[in-house]
Amino acid sequence: MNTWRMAWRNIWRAKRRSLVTMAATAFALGTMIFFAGWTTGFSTQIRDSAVLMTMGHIQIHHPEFRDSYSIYKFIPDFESKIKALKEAQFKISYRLYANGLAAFEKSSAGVQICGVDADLEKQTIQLPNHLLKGNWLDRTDKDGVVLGRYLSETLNVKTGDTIVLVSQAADGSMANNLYAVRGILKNVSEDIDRAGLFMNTDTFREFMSFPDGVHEIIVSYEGDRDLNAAAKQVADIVPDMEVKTWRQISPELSDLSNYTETMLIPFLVIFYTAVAILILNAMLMAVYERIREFGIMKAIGMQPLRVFSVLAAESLFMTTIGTIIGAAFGLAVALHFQKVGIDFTRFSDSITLSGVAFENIWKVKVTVQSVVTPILMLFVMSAVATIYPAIKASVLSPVRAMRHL
Amino acid sequence: MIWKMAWRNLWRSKRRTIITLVSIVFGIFLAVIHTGLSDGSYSKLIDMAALMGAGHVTIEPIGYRKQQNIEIFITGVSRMIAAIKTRPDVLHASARIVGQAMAATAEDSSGVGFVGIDPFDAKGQLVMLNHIIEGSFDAPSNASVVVIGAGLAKKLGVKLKSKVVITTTDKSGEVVSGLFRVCAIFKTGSDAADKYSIVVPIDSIRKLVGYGPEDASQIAVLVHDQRKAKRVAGELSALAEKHGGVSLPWFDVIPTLAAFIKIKSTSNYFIQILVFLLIAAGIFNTLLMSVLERFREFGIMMAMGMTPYRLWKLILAEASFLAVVGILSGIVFTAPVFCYLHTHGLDMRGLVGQKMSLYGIMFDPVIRTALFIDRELIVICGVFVLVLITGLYPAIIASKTRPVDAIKTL
Amino acid sequence: MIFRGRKRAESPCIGIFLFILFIGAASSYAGPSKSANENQSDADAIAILTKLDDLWRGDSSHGTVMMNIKTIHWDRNLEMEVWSKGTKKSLVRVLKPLKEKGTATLKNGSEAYNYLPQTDRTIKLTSAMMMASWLGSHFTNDDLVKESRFSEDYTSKINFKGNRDGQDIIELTCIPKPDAAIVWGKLIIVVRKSDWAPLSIAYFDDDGVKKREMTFADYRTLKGKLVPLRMKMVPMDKPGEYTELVYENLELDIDVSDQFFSINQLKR
Repeated sequence: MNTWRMAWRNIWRAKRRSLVTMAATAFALGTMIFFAGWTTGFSTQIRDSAVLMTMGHIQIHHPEFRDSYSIYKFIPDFESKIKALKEAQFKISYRLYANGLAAFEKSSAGVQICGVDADLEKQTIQLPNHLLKGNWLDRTDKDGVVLGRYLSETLNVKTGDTIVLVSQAADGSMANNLYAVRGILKNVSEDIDRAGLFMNTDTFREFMSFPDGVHEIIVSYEGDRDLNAAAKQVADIVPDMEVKTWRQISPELSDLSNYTETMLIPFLVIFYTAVAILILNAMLMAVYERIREFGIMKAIGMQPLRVFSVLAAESLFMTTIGTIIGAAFGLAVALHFQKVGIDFTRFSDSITLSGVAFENIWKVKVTVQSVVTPILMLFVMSAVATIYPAIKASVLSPVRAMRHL
Repeated sequence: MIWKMAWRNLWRSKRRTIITLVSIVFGIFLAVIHTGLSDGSYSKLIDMAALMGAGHVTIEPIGYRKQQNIEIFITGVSRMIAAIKTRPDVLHASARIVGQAMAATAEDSSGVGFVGIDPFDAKGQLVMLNHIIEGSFDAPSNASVVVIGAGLAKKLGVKLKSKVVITTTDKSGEVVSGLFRVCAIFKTGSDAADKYSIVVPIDSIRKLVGYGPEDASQIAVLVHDQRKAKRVAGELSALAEKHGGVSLPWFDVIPTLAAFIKIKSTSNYFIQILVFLLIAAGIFNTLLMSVLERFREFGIMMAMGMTPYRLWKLILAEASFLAVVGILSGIVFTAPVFCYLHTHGLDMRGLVGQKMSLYGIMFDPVIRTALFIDRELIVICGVFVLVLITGLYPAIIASKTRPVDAIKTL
Repeated sequence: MIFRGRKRAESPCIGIFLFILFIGAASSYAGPSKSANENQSDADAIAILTKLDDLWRGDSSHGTVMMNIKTIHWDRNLEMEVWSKGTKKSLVRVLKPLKEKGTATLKNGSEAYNYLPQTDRTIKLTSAMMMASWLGSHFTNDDLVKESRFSEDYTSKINFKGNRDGQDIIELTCIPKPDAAIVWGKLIIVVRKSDWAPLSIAYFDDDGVKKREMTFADYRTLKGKLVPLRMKMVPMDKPGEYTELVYENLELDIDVSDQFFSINQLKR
């Protein structure tokens, strides 16, 4: 009789034993898939949040801008640069920066004024969606500003209040004007929370007497492109400007992203060890218990190689069935949480890590890798667990085998 | 009799027993190490946050949370500190005067946050002071010296002994200035500290802002075990109220870090449960398998007069022995590893780099296990109970053996 | 923190500006006491500086001043009307350019306020704003508000007496006293030998690097006091930049009440 058929029949002859073994492997795989999805989601989220929230993948500045944040160190000719970048399949938004003072009734605070294109921001960055109160700027809004969260608390303002903004304009005169608070942001990053004040580009240009140029171009892309390759591409388009990736601009954030991925490792090891023990356990038990049975088979003439093959085949079947069931359950749970996310918002509505805020809903991310790797690991572990007892069963003399406990 | 039989049964089938014991030992190992590491990692974070800022428990003026202002302060601090230090849970307590100012030199000026602390008292109290790279903070508490971060030193163009004029508002709202000289430079690696925070001797800043000798912005209390912060805060609240203050645990003072830790600990619990389930599955598997293979044996025993109930008890007894032996071996196996991880920790520096900063808190990426014996005992008891519970189903199956059918099995 | 750029002048320097606002000391200004004895140079130095300090310990003044600011990015010329009484009260109002007409700064004691007509808001100057440049010039708000005295806050020595560039001058080196809240390492003050009129003040940091220099010119005598009508502040690290103050007309010992120096007045 064919090895496979024998293996198959053997399995179903000892239903309870086989079911228990398969249940164990299914459970192991299910948890592995869920866990892999969860850890992938966690690290991706950290990375994406930073990028999408405010930094973009790549940033362009005048080479001396980041030394002094001087309003005079702007990117010239920005419209043609933006056009060229868009043609290269990038998403663009830009910023103008100045320092100033905001005052409301008795309070005042130093602010970083940020002129943005209200519509472009919505396309590239999550910031416009990240409002605690009120609304984002409308493109036609000439008098509206949006404040960072802690700034609004320092000034004690609500949406609808009017603040005074004072600064030194680009032509040296005292810039001062009144603006209405349209919205207040949720936590974004430490700097923005404490001192961020957003207005439309046109408003900025008028307030600061700054007719031309931008200070920062933010470049984003969709999909999984290589960050450094994209940066090089951008640098080729804007050769005399400084081009940096988000990792270079915020090494702290880059570190955090690496840190969370690395710090998971000890816990991953612990987790997978637990899984391995389970699998080993299941397989060892399954095979060892059969040694007596195979002793009898050998006594009536079964070849050692055949014994080994049958045992191996049984193990393979059980692992496969366990995989199917485990994958089904694991994926179902993982996909559910990919959609819904694990909601931690009852602890706080956002948390700030390395100066950047993250949504407090942790999403599981199911990727091909997060499913395939656990499955491969499962098969490897089962194989390893099966080999020794299978060999033993095949070489042991029938008499000793039958007496095996 | 049951117990003797159970014990003998176990050692008759050495292989099965060993496999089960190994599962239990690993179970203990993984559960204990995991709990230790995760407790350790965020205990460390909390302790560092306490060191960076205002202690595990902070006593501050009423209303300070809403409006942090030099104009409100607590009084009678030295009496309070003396009383606080007598408590066994407290490691240390020190008074601070904190606020914001402009630091100016001939080169440039910059907004800073200052902490006034007694230099004598300050050892190990502030992270900045633990990372001094040049100079020292050994000065009398009224000396006009300042400790600044490397980033700020660069911006202001100063070195040791350079002048820095600090301008701030005093307690009546007047703008005041004082001259200080750089006595030490620190480098924590975190921008928030290195470019913004300065440390001054408490009495010199006291004079500048016009506080009396018993006034201060806060008292920072450090405890031995950060888990006791809430309780200690509660115990100190009466004392604080007498002096115009409130007593807050760290998580009320730094809610963002508290949220982060809450999430980390919740997800760690989650992983812990998964690990427990996996271990349980393994042990269940083994126990069940061994029962399934012994039907013939059970059949014979029943034929010879053993009752189903006694058979059930027998299996449970076996499970109990397995549990006890497994746990003891587990402890023996785990303890040295645990201790190593406690003293040396898991060194992640090769992968992550020399330092890591989170929330402006610097730490080295070496994960150590926390020696919270009570937590580990709970884990161990948990495993014990788990083994017993997983033994129930196999025991029931065993007791349902039908002798005649059983003897007929191969 | 907020406005970038302008480096500070020393407060006695702005004090000199203010001295123009409120000179008119009853104690008229005599010439230097002749002292041939070099051992008394310290005492002499103190005497010179005391005269300097006292020059602006005056009664009241009213005048118009042009402030010309030149930076590498822009040039500005402001015309301002100024009043002062004693050392503690002063009011400055911008007349030109039109865009900034009505902008005013009030100093009353150790408090100072800015009024901005465009938004009709009065802002009290806080400690965080002290280092910001005043009206875009190379002076800061701090200079307006703080008061220190050369003779009291510095230890000085005469280090040169003689002829330089065709003028007989006395040069003093002033080191801030150990407790004085002054960022400079030293000042070098040059006065005219004949009448002790200040010609220049140079500011050095802790390492002896000159950071800025203030020069005085166009001396006139008004009501018995010798007054420089032109002052120029030059930062060393920004070649080509300066802020110059030129008095167009000036009256001393005018009649002005204390109530004049109030927030209400700011808005008129």
